[in-house]
Amino acid sequence: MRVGAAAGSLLRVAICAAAVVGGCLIGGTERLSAAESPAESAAELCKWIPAEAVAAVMVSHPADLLRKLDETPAIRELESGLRLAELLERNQELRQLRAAVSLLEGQLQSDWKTILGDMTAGGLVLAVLPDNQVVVIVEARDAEVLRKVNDFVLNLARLDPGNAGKREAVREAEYRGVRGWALSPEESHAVIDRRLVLCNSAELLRRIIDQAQDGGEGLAGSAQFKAAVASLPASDIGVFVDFRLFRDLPQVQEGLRQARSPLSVLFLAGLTEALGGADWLALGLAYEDESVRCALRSGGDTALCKDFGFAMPASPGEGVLPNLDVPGRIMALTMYRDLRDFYARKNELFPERTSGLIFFENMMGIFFSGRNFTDEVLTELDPHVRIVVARQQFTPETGVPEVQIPALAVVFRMRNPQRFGPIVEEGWQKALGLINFVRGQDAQPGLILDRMEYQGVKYTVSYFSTVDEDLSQPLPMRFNFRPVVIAQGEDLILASSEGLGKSIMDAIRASADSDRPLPDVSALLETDLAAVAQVIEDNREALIRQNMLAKGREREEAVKEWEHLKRAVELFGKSVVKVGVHDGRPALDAKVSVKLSTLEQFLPAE
Amino acid sequence: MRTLSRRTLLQSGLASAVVLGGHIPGFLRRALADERLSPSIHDSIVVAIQLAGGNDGLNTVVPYENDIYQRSRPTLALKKKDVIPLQQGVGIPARMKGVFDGLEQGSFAVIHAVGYSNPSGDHDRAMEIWQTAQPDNPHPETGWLGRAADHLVPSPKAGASPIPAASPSVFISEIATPLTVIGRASVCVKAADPASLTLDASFGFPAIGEGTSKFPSAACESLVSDAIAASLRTAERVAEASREDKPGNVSYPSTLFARRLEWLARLIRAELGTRIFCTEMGGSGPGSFDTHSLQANNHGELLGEFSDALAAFLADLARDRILERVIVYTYSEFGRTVRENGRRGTDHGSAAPIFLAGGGLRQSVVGEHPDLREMENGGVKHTVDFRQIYATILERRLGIPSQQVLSASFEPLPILV
Amino acid sequence: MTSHCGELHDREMPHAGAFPASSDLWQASSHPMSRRDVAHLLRRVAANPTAEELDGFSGQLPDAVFLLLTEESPRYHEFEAELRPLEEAAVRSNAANAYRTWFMWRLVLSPCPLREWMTVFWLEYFGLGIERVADLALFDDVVRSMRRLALGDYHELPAAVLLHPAFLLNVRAPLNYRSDPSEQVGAAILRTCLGYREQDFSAQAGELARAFSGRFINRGRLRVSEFERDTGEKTILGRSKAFEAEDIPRLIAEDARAASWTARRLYRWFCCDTRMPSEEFLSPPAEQLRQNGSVAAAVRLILSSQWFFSEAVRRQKLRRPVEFAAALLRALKGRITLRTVTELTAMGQDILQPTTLDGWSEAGNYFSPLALIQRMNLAAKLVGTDENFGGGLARGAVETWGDDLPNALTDLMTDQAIPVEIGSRWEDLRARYAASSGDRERVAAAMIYLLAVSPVFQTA
Repeated sequence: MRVGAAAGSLLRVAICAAAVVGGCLIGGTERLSAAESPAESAAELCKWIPAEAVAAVMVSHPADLLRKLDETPAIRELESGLRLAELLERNQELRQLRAAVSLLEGQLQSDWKTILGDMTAGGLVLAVLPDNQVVVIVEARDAEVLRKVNDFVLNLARLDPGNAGKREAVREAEYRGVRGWALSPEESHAVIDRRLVLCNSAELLRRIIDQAQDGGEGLAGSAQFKAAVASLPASDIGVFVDFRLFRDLPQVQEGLRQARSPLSVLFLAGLTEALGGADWLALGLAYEDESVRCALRSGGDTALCKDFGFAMPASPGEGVLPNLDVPGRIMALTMYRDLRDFYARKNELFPERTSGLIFFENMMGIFFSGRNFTDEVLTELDPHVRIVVARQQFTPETGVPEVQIPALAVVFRMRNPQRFGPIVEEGWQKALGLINFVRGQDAQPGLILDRMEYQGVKYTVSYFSTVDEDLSQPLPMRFNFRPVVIAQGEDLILASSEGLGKSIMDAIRASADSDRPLPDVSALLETDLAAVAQVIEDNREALIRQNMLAKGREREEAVKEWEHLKRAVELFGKSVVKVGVHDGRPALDAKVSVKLSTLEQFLPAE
Repeated sequence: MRTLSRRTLLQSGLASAVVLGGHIPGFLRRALADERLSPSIHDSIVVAIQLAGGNDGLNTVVPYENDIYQRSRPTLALKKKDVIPLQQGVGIPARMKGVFDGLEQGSFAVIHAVGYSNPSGDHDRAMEIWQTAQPDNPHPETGWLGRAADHLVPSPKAGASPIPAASPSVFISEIATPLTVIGRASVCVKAADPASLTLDASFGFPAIGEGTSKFPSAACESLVSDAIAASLRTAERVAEASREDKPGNVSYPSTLFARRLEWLARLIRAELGTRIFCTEMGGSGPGSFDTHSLQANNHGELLGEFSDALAAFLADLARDRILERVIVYTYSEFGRTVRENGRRGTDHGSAAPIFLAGGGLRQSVVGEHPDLREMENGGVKHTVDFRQIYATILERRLGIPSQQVLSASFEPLPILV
Repeated sequence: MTSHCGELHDREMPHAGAFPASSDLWQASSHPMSRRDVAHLLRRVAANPTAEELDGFSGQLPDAVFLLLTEESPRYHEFEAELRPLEEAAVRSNAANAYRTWFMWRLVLSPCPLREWMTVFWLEYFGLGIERVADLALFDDVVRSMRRLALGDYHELPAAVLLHPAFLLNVRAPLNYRSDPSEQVGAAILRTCLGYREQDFSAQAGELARAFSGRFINRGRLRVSEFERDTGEKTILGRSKAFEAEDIPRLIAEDARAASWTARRLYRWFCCDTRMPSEEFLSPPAEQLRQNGSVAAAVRLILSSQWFFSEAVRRQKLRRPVEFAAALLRALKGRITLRTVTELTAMGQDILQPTTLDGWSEAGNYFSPLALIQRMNLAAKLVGTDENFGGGLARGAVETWGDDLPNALTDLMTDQAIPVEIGSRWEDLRARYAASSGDRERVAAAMIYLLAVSPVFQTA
């Protein structure tokens, strides 16, 4: 990349970096206006955006972001680390960019962070219009800094050896008293008072100038836009999407249609339908203590969501139970799902009768001795459903499976444990019997059933015998499973491993006093990717082999991919995703922790 | 080139010319008198639809006034209000309105009590029997339509190209290709979705005639060059037939089965020369129709899905009068027990009705509803051997002597024109 | 051809010249191989030559190259050791598709390609199928035996296969009672080892089945029940005695018709599957099998012969889907992936499951219009960037050959010495490749695709 070209793109890089990087890591604790939504501060900027914009990204206080980044210990560590400096030297493009930045710093007698902060002090908006038109509007602290940076970029472009011999390295024109410049056919910009307007076409730049001079509300006046930004909580970045344009696309329709399987309907519970009927989507992002918080809202026709009443808390104050915390937890999901209502509406929710669904019902008919699955089985369960996935720990004494699969448990609440508990126990034993029979037909070893007791609660466990196995060798995959069913009070635990079952019993006891529903929450998902990283480590060889076969890679390449996967997972820590209800539609809030100190390993090397 | 058939004769106007000439040859008079044109055995198309799981025939063609039926199925039996009457005391579920309309219009037929002696109650073995028409062969390797397709590929003889001019059979689904269309010689093309038969133009299209050596005896290359040319023409026809914006496109339901039939109709419309098509409903494994539990709602939905999709398929083929050349038949590995079980479902039975659809059907209902007092394996007893239907299709539509395919002689049924 | 020796699907093709009367043409060629000869040989024994093979084998005698292609070099043992973990893991977890991928990997990358492709030959010869056998551990065991004996002792090979549990499972005969012998076992032997047609079986199938009575497959193991053994006299292949199953392989190996049949299969495999010579013409390789008991000797005779290198044999085979994919990937050092293997299965050729006991369909049947569309689409995927199909073919080719790529492609993928009319699009791409700096990979992919779907590349 030539110095001139690097400088020429400096403007673009700096502006976009403020949006893109800020989208991942933005500061917020020392914002100038801590409680405002992005559009409130960017409202003036959005007035210049044409109303037909299909998407807009708004950053209220980029300067605060930069300051927050500067003050984050992990980022300081990254910057000051010798490795980073070395990498910057090694990579040619970064070297050239760094040179251009140094020049600018010298010109303006300031450091690049201050310059960037001054340029974006009043906010930033990036908008996409139909026909691939893009505009960025930035408001600076004052017009002077904009003028200086603009002059610097124009001069560099004129001096760029790559532009030597070209008639016009920089094209200049005036429109309605506003001077504008173009450094390439895909770039046009103008400085209007304290604002920099950057477009990918001259035609669009002229329209923006018209909008600025003629007044009007522009995008800010759009009803969808107003509703979208009003729906968001306090955020540092806001994204608005006019979804009317996208929802009718065949690919989107196909994706939504494919989401209509029983399990996806149960888990997503209207999220995809909310999308299908949405006029607009709004996303708010905020950065807090090395975590990114995001909120997703949608608006439009709420009629589609009526089918998903089974996932909406029935009364105010009703909601999910807290997640269960167990050792080695990878994921915990707690849902409010009236299973009886859900299954009773299967004709509407998942009308296609797949062989899997029929098989499921056949089995339920056997296990529950012909009881009506909807009205005699599911109706016995209250709407609180919890799922836990946890890493299993194996010891050489008990044998270690070749592929180590995390354990899975589902926890229901029974309305009438005295009556329903034995029914479940019977069904469970029938299921195990059937599994053993089928495995026997294929000359495969079966499960041994046993009754155990823990904390005064009797339960049924099943396991494979290790009599014929060499425990010093990796065991077949079936040794990941020691299925249990446990009825502890009103809680019904179905777990793939006894260890997890017992851990859940402990967790339930420990939280008994504090077990209150979280109001108006339909689902809460918590994950710990550090535990996932551990599972990736446990299954190193299996994953490498799988990569070799799936991608045809040599072993060394597959090992590198495995390492990369593990590092990518280690980048993230705990996350929480909450699905509630907003204006009759599902609304999603999430928080993900990002380990900035691990970013270094993803920096490019020559 | 298509052999002259009565249809093409009429279409060509030759008949009119002869009539206008004042002289009507006897053969022509008789041909014209038959208002229903019989499809030619040289360009007819067979569509096999596999219904996996064992479709409950009694709740498909329903003897709603039969006392044994009502008493044996306290929760599953359909009442008069639930069916559309077909014959005296026999109807089809109201949910199958599309099929019923087809029966009335003559594009559908139902054949009662189809099966075979000593039926198997095992899913895999029973389905294999229907697919191969070889109940006495413990190790079948080929399906009956695969063996039929073997007759449609070049036979080894002097001067013949080893490359078939058209793909003899196509299977549309994501599951493994069923034995039905596996032949010894022919290769069934499997297409899980339209993309697999749409030519990938990422790198342009191969140029016809290029890429051949000047090798003097490169007869193989010359054949391949012709074959590539043929495949490019085929790709064009497939693309043309697949255009979404063609006027008069029939609207199909949004189910997976309907989408398969829609795609199948396009392939038929593309006139690829392929004469055997196969698709399925019910998936692999035990299959959707294996309704051991809670049958009422599930089976009703399945039949509705089946009926709506098939009705759209036939309507699609009926425009441009392609339906005349097509015969669709359904098969399932067995029927189900007359008596319902304790789980409000039914278990593996024996015989069941099958559907035919398409052109040249002589009658809408073939045979009588089986007597429920005579049962076999808990299900109805067969009165029609399924291989007779196969023989009928082989001889009346594919023009293949049935004994060569079925390895035994079975009397074709007089059900097809 | 006598009626009991079953007819292959003999077909007459437009062909320049008839079969010569003399069998002198079986004499070993004494001419050092040209580049074109090497390519012809490698197309038949390894799906396609590599650049190293074209360079390395040119100037050598066919006989010498045969030895190089079959010897178990240190590199071969290293290769085995590298891939063994994949094989064992696939077998342990009963992952059939992973096993297929591993097998295909061997076909494309093995330093001993003739051994790998002979394993495929025997798989087709005996009609063994991974799904029919169902027990992956057993299937792997019999495949290992076939590989070990692929070019080995002709007497040992039938024993290794016919007496293996997988053979019985393959024809659904895990239980062989004295009172109810499984005739399909006898039928399978007659068809696969002797080329009988069903109408020629007569009572022999039953007699053979009786010899296998008492053999039961239980939990993947063969168990012989003395009580269920049929110890009576049986008439098999014209001989009468109280034969047991263990005698059958020897009877077959000693039978002249079996040797003739096997020779015909080898001829079809290596030389031409569209026009079959007479039994007399094939007697030299048949004799190698019967008298010398050496598969290697028979194959060596064929592959070193003047006849093999004559113009009458070149370019006479059509590539089936597996051969097509293997040729492309081998030539350009591409990657085998699970998706590629499953795509080939969807195209009608499961690499580890011949369609019937007679093998896969004739090659021509894979060239119907729709099948060719699938083949062209597979070519596009293999040269494209989708990692599920390898993804690096074009990039690797550019890195390996740089400016010389167009010549390398014609060298590897068309016919040497004989001009190939690839056409104006090729010339255009050549020019663009020479001129382009940033877009080379894309242009290279287009060039590879153009050749991959050309008629000349569909033939071997």
